[in-house]
Amino acid sequence: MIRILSIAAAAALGAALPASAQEAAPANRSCELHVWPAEDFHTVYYGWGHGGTVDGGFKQRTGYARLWVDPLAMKRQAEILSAQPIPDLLGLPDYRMVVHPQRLSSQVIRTSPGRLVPDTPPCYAELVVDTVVLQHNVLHGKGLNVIYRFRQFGAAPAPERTFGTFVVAPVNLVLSDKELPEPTAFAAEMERAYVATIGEFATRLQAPPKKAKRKP
Amino acid sequence: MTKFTLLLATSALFAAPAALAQTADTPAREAAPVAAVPAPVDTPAAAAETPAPAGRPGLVPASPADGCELHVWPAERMAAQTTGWLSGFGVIGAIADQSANAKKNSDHQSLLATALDSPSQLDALASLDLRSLLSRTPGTTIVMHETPLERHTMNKVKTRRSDSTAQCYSELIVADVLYQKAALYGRSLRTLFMFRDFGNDQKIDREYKAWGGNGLKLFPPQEGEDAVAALDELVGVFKGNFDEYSRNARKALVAPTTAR
Repeated sequence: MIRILSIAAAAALGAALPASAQEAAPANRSCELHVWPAEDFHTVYYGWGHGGTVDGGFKQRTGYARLWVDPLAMKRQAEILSAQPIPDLLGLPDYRMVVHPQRLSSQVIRTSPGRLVPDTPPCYAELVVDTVVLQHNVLHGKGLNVIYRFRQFGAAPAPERTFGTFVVAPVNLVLSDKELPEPTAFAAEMERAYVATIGEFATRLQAPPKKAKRKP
Repeated sequence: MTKFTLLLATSALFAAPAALAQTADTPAREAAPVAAVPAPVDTPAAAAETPAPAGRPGLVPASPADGCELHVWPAERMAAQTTGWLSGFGVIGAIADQSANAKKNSDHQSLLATALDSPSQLDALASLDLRSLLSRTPGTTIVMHETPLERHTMNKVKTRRSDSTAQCYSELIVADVLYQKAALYGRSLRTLFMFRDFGNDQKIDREYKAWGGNGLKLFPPQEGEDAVAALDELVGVFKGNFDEYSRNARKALVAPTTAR
C-alpha cells in the first residue's frame, strides 16, 4: 500500500516538476532543497460558548470572524517561500532551493516513505509546509500556527533525518464577525507572522536534540 | 452515557461546540479585491495540477456491487480541552483554569485540525473494513464525502444527506473530535460517530450515535519539538475510537427495530 502511494506520488510530482517548480538559486549546486507550500490557511476559534468549527469564518458561520484568504493562499505562500533564504536558514547553504507552487496532499505528506521527487541528486532535502492555521482564543489572542515537516536524504532511499514540528507566531489583528478586516494590513500581518515561523522552525531544526532523561 | 453527556456539557460550557450559534453556511472563501501586498517573486506561468491523493482502495467492493451504499462524512468540529485541579473549585476556578490553558487549547485545536483534517479522517476510515465493522453487505459501495456536514444540522435533518437514490442506503457521520486532558483522567481523544440506516427510502430505520474514546501517550507535542509521532498517534487513536464505536453499534443495532 505504502509503496503504491509512494509510486503514485512520485509519478505525479515527477511529471509536474519541470513546469511547476521554481528554482530560487544558482543551478550549479549538486544538492537540492525542495520546498512545498501548504493548502490555503485554515482557522480555528476557541470562544465562550461557541467555537471549534474549522474554517468557521470562511464558511460564514455566525460568531466566527470574517477573513480574507488571499494573504496566505497557496500561491502566495509559494511566493513568500521563494523570497526567503531558506537553505541558509536551515543550515544548508550549499543546497539549491526549488519551490513548488502546488501543495501536496496530506496523504502524500504523511505516508510517503521515500523522496517526494524522484530523480533528484543523492544530496537532497525536503521542507513541506504541512498546514497553516490562524488560531484565535478569546482568552489568549491570535496566533499563526504552522506545521513544518523536514526530511534530509543521502544515498539511501530512506531519509537520514526527519523532523516535524509546529511553531506559533503571535498575530496582532482585530477581527470581527461583522466585517472583513482592512486587506492590506491583514495581509501584511499574516505574511509577517508566516515569515517569522520559517525562522523559528529553522532555529528549532538546528537546535541540538534534547538528551533523553535517564532514570536513576 | 452520563459520562459522555457530562463531557459534552463541559465542552459546551467552556470551549468549542457551537451547535446553536451556527447558521446555514455558504462555503465560500473570500478573496481580497486586490492583491494586498506585491509579490516579491514571479509566479510560475503554468501551475501544475495539485497531485491527487492516491486512491482509497476498498471503496468499491471486491464482491459484485449489490446496489447498497454507505456514505461517509468527516467532522468539521474540533475541540481541545485541558483542565487542571482548579476546575474543581467552581466557576471561578474553571475560568482560571481555562485562562491558564488557553494557549495550549488553541495549539491543540490547530494540531487536531491538521492531523485529522477531512482527507485524513476519510483516509483513516477507508483503511478499515467498514463493511464488516458496520455489518454492511460485502457488495456495499462506500462513498466518501470530502466536505463535512454542518454540525448543527446533523441531528435536525432526518432524511438522507446525499442525493443518492440507492435502494439500500446508509450513512456514517463523524460529528465531533475532542481532545481532553484532565488532571484526574489523563489525555484522551474522543470521537462522536453517528450511523443511520435508511433502507430503500428517506426514513431512518436504525440509528446509533455514540462516542469512541481512547487514551493518548504521545500527543500533545511541545512547540518546537519533533511532533510527527504525536500527530500520527491521533490518526491511530481515531481509528481505535471507531473500532470501539462500531463494536457497540453492532450490538445496539442487532434488534432491527431499535432506534437510538
